[in-house]
Amino acid sequence: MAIQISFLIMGILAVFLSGMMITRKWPVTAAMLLIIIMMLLAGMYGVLGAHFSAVAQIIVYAGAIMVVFVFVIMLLNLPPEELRYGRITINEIILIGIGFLGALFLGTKVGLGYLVSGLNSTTLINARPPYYPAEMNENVKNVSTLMFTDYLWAFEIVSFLILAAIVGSIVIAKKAKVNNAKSS
Amino acid sequence: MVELSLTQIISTILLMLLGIAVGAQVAPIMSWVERRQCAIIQRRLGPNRVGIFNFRIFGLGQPIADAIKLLFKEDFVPPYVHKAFYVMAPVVPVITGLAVTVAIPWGSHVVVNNQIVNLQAVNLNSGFLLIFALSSLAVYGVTLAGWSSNNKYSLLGGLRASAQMVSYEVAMGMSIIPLVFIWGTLDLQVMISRQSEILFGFLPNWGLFHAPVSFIIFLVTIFAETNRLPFDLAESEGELVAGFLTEYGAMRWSLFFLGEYSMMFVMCVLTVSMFFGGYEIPWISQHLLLDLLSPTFGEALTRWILLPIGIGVLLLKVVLLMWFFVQVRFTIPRFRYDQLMKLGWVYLLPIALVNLVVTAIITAFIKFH
Repeated sequence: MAIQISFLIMGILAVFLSGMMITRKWPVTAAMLLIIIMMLLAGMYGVLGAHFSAVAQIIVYAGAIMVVFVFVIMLLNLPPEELRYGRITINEIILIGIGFLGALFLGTKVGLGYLVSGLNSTTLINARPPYYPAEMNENVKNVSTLMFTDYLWAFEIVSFLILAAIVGSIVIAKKAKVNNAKSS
Repeated sequence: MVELSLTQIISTILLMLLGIAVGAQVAPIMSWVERRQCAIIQRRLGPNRVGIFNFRIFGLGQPIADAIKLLFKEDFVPPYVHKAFYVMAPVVPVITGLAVTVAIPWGSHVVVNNQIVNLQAVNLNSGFLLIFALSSLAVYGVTLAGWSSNNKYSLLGGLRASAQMVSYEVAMGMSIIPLVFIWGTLDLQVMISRQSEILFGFLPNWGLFHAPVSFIIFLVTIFAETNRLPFDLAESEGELVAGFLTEYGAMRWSLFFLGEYSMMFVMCVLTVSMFFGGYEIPWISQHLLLDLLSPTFGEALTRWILLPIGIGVLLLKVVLLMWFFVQVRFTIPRFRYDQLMKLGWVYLLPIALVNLVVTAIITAFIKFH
């Protein structure tokens, strides 16, 4: 029961803070809220017994990617008056509406699934408790076994895509430099 | 769901408290050690007078006097700062620095009420990655302090800290993977018990002898991760006044150091556990002692006897390593910022990658575990 309760608390808090995040004026505040959301997600994974995903979530997202985000935000360091917030257009309202409806649909579907099938049949409950001695070291093993057998191709393709993105960003950065040199 | 017994809950909480208590004591003691060591290197005396009543004890009363001074100083908040973040920033390194102490392995295990109690309070199956995860969050304290101070020097300090952290974390992660290959686990307890064996008949089976390149890279990166000289570009008094600390005073200022020293302690514990056999005495493994002493004292009691011995050995190794930190601080001058970035990306990362590939090939042929 403790698992469900903490999962629900963290989930609700994450949704609430996400709402807060997209409505903040200071970019730094939004970034900090995003970090807290990442940590809440990690907590949710941890409560489900997926320790490796939880720790990876913190190392990769909260510890590395968000540090770069914050770095860029601070490097520009614009006060909210200088950030020009445009008026919301009708297209954006439609998009937000679609997203909201989609979230509502998904939420009710999952939520109803809970209510109809009873709490016990969901994966949330079937998750093994994290601190069961026999399961020690099994989690990482399972993740890596799956990653390097069934999902090897997907894994390699994703890593290639990321490599392509890195090379692309270097190319763009180099071009800008050449243009600057020409213009000056 | 498997219910945790009361014994396990209480012992886990006690172990966590032990970690937090030790972690919090590191800052005052280390501040004294650093001043004395600095004085010795510079042929001065250093703080050697403050004692308790008439006992001078090498000036060890100095940290207490410092703490009293810092607590009673006026807690001044400059009017131009971003108040919420300014107040929040010093708390971040303290929380992460003390929280990470829960993952310290103090010993193998003891038996309480017929139940095995693991002496590593939090033993997740992702092992020591938890320490990495929590330590990577400490930098937000520095960056937030830099940004919220509303001061150009502070901002530059915060920016430098975040860029430095991201650059060195890559090399740090890469340098540790060879050890995971060699020991075949992420669990610190298993690593330590493997290191209690003997290599070639005369060397202790330490990670240091299996992966010396990893050790050097890891050592350099933890200097950078904990913001210590020669990598304390975020503070760098010579150029940035005091960097992210410029607008801080009194207890808020010292909170940064509490977190920093605690993190340094945990990083030293991690280094010792991975490269120097943790709580195991070299050549005399706890297993051997257990076999020797069990007939006279019984197994349960022997494990209890081994607990303080293990903690003592661990702390001795950690103290030696931290002394090395201090020695380096007053020996090597601070890097320039471009040198720091060059060292991280041009030298450490490629070396770590080559080391990783070579170790992977070797472990494919020779099974270490």
